[in-house]
Amino acid sequence: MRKLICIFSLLATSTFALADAADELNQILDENVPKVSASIDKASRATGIQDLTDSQNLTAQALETLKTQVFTWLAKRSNQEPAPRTIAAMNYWEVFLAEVRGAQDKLEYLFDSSDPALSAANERIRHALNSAFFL
Amino acid sequence: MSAGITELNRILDENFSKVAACIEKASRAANIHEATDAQNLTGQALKSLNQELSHWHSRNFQVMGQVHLKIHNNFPDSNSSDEAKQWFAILNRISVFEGEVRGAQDQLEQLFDPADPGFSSATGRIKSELLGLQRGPLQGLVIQE
Repeated sequence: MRKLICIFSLLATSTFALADAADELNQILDENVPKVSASIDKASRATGIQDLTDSQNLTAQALETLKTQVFTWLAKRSNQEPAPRTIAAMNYWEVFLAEVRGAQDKLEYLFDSSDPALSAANERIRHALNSAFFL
Repeated sequence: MSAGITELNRILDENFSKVAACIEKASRAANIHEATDAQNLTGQALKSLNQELSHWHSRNFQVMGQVHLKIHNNFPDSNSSDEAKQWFAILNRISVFEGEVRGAQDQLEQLFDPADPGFSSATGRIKSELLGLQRGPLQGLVIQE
């Protein structure tokens, strides 16, 4: 009987740990995805190069922060088999990155410019995106 | 800002959010059936957006006529009117949103089997609505010089 309780206890601990992993990743995404989306929306409405560059720097910063948090989360969970809810959150992360990449492609097409400050901001976004894929 | 442009931005705000929610649902799907259902919802949300833009156009075109927009170094010329600048921003908003949705679709096709008939059909409808959005009635309102 004691052995049975012990097994149930271990199973419960494991399940809670996996649920926590999904909740933790979802919390990171819920807090940070809207920030990235808002700065992309701002960039898409820019009517001057300074507005656009400022918004692109904000996107880069928000994306770098988000990526750091996701990677920190991943490092803590790397030895765990992900639960379905965790896989769903990870898929959402990858689809979100693809959305940002699609938006960035369009912004660079619309505002094709050799301005150094804008190019530097674009490069930061590209670097963050390229290193965030393929978890 | 004119009432027409305020209404147009509201249409974009509301419908972009709906489409984004459907895409999030698709990305979190546990299997191809859930993904297909969510993709069908994305297609419907995009269709509604196109319809609302079309209705907005038919209500406002006679009143506002066409807007002339002079572009210099990728942005509206410094002499451009506020209205012309607002139109520039609206068209770019739509264009960037279209790029976001297209990017998401590319990734969803990697996560789920793009050859599945239901999923493929739903994705095809999304791409068709995206084309409609890209070539939508608003594009004809602005004449770039």
